[in-house]
Amino acid sequence: MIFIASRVRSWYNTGMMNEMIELYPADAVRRETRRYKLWRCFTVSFALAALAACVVLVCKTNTANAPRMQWRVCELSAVSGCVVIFLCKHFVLPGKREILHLRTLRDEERQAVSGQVSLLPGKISIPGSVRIRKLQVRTGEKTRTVNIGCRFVKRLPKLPAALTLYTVHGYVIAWEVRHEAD
Amino acid sequence: MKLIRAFFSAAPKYLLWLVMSTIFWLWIFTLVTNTTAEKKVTLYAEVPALEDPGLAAELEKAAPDSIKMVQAHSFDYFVFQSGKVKGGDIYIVPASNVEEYLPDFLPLDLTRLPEGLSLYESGGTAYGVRVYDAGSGEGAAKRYISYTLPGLAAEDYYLFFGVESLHCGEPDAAAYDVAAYLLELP
Repeated sequence: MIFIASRVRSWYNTGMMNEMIELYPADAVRRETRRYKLWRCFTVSFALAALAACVVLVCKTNTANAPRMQWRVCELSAVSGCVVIFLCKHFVLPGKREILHLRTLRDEERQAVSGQVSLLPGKISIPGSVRIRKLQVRTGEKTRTVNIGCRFVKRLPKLPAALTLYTVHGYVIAWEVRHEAD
Repeated sequence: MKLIRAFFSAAPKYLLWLVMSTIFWLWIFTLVTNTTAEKKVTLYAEVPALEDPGLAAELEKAAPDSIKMVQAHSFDYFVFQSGKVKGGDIYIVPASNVEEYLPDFLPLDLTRLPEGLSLYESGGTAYGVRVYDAGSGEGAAKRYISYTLPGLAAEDYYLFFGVESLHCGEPDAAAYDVAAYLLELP
């Protein structure tokens, strides 16, 4: 699940460039929903096709081929079932959780937190929701932790770094990084 | 690598699925490949090796319309004692074990079998028909039944009818039809 972040660049008179990375662009829910429906449709179709194949093999069973058919059906059922479990676990259910997560973040007012940002170790799985990492934001004497979806961690600049994070309900939905202008 | 690790992260679910699906399909196949005793003829053979699906499919050709299927299974005396096997229609057993089984076999109705067969008699009553002659090495359905194996002493084999068989007289004599066909199989 790759999000293409929308990048907003603004020039300042100081010769510095601010780059805004949006993790949840406006059409994110629509794109995630479409992706989830495609995976769900594919998984259900695959499961039904496998079941139909098993039923056909059972219907073609006779006294002479019964042991062979029994093995074939058991093998087909076992392999296709494992594939369906794999698809559900890694594509269908994460997609559904992502949509629910996106809906909670949509249209909410964002809060800005600026400071020295560092990544805390360990991934956290929220039951029924997305997997997250913790970010620590140090602003002067104050320290605060915020959450970021695991799949966005790779896109963070090299940490620790001075960033402005934008959060909703404690989840990072965007950040702003200041670059030297070319 | 990541994909392989992800696949095995759900190992308990896969194992549970393997067990559940196997049990389910075995149950379905039991339903599909079995029927009530009234509609099937069952043959049990205490022989070194039996190609049971092939033999059963061949014997089905001789079964009357009232019989939906013929089943063929290997067994031994220990399994016979469990009771399930005693409901069979036709038995093929070695001469050395006949005395143990004899109380569970019916006397033959010779009018339903071809003439000129070698019989097993006890107390002046015919109970079985020889299906394998150890002396000459000739036997019935040798394509499906191995009566000898290297290292095993050869002995005669006889065919009997079970005392609990539903197909050895009224309402039908399907077991005799099937047995007569088996005796002529090469």
